[in-house]
Amino acid sequence: MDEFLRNLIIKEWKLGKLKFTFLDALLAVCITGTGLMIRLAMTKYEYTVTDSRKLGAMLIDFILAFFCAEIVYEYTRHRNKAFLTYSIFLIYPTMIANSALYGENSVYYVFFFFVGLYYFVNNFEKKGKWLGLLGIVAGAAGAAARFRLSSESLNLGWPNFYEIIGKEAFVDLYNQVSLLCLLGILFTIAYVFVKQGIEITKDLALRLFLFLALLIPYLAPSMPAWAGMTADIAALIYCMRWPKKFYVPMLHLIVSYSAYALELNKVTKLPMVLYSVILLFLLMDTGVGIYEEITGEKFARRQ
Amino acid sequence: MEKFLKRYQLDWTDILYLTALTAIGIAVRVILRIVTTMDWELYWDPWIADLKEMGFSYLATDRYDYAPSFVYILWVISRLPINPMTAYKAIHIALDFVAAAVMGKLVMETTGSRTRSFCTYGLMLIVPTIWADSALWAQCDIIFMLFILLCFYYLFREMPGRAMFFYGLAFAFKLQSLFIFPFLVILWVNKKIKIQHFLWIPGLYFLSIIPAWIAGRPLLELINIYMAQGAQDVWSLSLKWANIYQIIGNQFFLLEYAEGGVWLILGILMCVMFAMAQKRYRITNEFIVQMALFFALLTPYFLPHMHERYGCLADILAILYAMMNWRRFYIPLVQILISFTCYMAYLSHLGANEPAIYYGVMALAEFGLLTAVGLDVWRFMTDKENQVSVQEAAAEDAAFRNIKGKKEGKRQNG
Repeated sequence: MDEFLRNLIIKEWKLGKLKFTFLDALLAVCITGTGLMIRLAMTKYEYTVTDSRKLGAMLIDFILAFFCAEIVYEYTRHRNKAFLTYSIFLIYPTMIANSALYGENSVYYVFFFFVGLYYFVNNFEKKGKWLGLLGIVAGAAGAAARFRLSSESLNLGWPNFYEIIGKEAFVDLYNQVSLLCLLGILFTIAYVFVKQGIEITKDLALRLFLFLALLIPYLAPSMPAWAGMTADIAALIYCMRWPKKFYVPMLHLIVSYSAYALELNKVTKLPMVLYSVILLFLLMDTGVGIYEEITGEKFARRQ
Repeated sequence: MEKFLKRYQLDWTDILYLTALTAIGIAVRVILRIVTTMDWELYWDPWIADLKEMGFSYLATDRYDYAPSFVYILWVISRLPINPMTAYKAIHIALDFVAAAVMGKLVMETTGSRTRSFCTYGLMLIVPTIWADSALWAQCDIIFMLFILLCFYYLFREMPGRAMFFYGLAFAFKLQSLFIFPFLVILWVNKKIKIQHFLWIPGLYFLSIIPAWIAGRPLLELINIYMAQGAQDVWSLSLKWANIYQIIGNQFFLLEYAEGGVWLILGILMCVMFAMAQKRYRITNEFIVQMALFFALLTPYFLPHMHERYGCLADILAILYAMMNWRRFYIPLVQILISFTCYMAYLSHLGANEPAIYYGVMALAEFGLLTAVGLDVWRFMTDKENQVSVQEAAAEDAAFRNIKGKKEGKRQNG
C-alpha cells in the first residue's frame, strides 16, 4: 500500500497536451482551496462590504494567478516555476488584502497589464504583439479612471519620492509639476530607445515592465497605498525569470504590505521614509538590469 | 526644414524630443512662477522697490549684501514696466534653458553623442533643484552656474583665457564659485591654465564694483561685500545643508567651529592639492568634471554656515559626470535627492524640525558620494595610462614654451 501511494504521487498523468503528476494536481487543488479560504477569512468580518465587485475581484485574482503562471512558463519553460507562481500568487498577501480585505479591487485594471504582458510574450515571434499593447493601454485607462488628485497631500499612502522631500508643501503646484517631470523622464527613456534602435526582446520587455511599474508610482502624485500592486506581481515574475533577483519581490512585498498596514491600522512600525529609500534602491537595481540587458555587459565591471 | 535638419544632423525624433522637453520645462516653470518665498519678500522685493524709488543712487547705500553685479540686474528689473517678480523669474528661467543648452554642448564635446547631449539638455530642464531655484524660490544661483559651465566649455576647447574670463564672471556674481577653485590650481599645475589667466578673477570683480563705487558706496565695503555676507546667518554651523556639522552637531561651539571650520577646509584643500600636484597626468574632459565635482562636494561639506542651496553646483556637475560615465548614474540621483530634500526643508518652513530623512543620515550619504568621487579621482591619477612620463612632461614644457615664444614673437612683429 505504501509503495502504491509513493508511486501514485509521482506518477505522470496526461490530459491532452498537459502532463502532470498527482502531487501537482494535489497542490493545485489544495492551493486553490487555500487561496479561497484565505479570501473568505478576510471577508468574514466585513472590514469593507462584500459585494459583487469584491467577489468579482477575488475571482479575477485566481485568473490573474493563472495568467502569470503562463507568463513565467513562457519565459522559463519550467513547469514547476509556473506552478509555483500560480501557487504563490494565490497566497500573495497584497493581492489578498487588496481584494478581500481592503475591497480596493485594483485587480480589475492590474489584470489588463498582465494580460497585455501575456499577449506580448506569447506572440513575440508573431504579429499579435499589438494585442499586448492593447492590454497595457486598457490597464492604463482603468488606472487613470480611478486616479483622483488630492489637494491635501502629495502621496496618499504609497511611500514614494514625496515621503522623502515632504508631502504637504506646494501640493497643488507639485501635483502638476511632478506629472510633467514624470512625462519628461518617460519621453527621455522612449527617445533613448528609439535613437539607439534598441530592440524590445522578451527579457527586456519584462525588465521595462517592472521598471515602469516601480517608476510611475514613485514619482506620480496622490498615489494610494495599493499603488505598488502591479510592481508587486511583476516583481515575482521577474524573480522567477532571474532567481538571483529574489530580493526584489521580497523587499517590494514588505514595502507594499507596510503601506497597506499603515492605511488599515493607521500606525507604522518603521518610518515610511525607509520604504521610500528601499523603493529607490529597487528602481536603481532594475534600471541597472535594463542597462545590462541592452549592452550585454556587467554593470559592476571596474573602469 | 529638411535642409535645416540635414545641416544640423538632426532627425524628427530629435526635434520632437527637444520640443517636448522644452515645452515641459517651460510648463513646469510657468506653474511655479506664482510662488512668493520669504527671500523674495525680505530681500529682492524691498531692494527692487528701493531701486525704483532711488534709482542708481541706491547702489551707494549699504542696504544690499549681494555682489553689485546682481544688484545691477535688479536695477534693470526695477526699470521694466512689468511685475518685478515675473521679470526676475523670467530672466532666471531663461538662463535655466541657456544652461541646459550649454550642458548639452559640454556632453557633446566630450562624448560626441548627440543622443546623450540632447538627453542632458532635456533632463537638466526637469531637475528639481534647477527649476526650484529659479522658478519657485526666486534665487539667482543659475547665473554663476551658467558662467561656470561656460568656463568648462572653453576649458574643453583648450581656450583657458576665455574659460577664466567666465570663471571671473561667476565669481563676480557669487562667492560659491570658489567651491571649485582648487581644480583650477590643479589645471595650472598641469599647464592647462597660465598664471595671468587668474587675473580675470579679481579684475572682473573690480570692474563689476566700479559702478557701485561711482554711485557712492565706499570701495572697501564693496571689496569686502562677500566677507560681510559670510558674517551673516551664523546662528547655526549648517543652514540646512547636509554636511559634517549635521553629524557632529550644528548648534554647539558656534564661534569656535565657525572659525576652525574655515581653517579645517583650507587645510584639507591644501593636503588634497599637494597630493594632486605631485604627479602630472593627462587632463581629459571627464577628469576636469570629476575634479570639479569632487571639490564642489568637498568644500561645502566642511565649510561652516552652508545654506541648503549650496549643493546645486555639485548637482549639475554630477549630471555632467554621469552623462560622461553611465556607471556613475547614482551620483546625480543621490546628490539631487539630498539637495532637493534640503531645499524643501527650507521651502516648506520646517524650521528647526528634521526632514523625513534626518540631516545626519543625508550627511553620511553625502560623505559616501564624496568618497565615491574621490576614489574615482584617485583611480584616474594612479592609473599608469593617465600618467605623463618625465620625457612627455619635458616635451610638453618645450611645446608650451614654444607656443609662448611664437606668440610673443608675433606680438613683437605685429
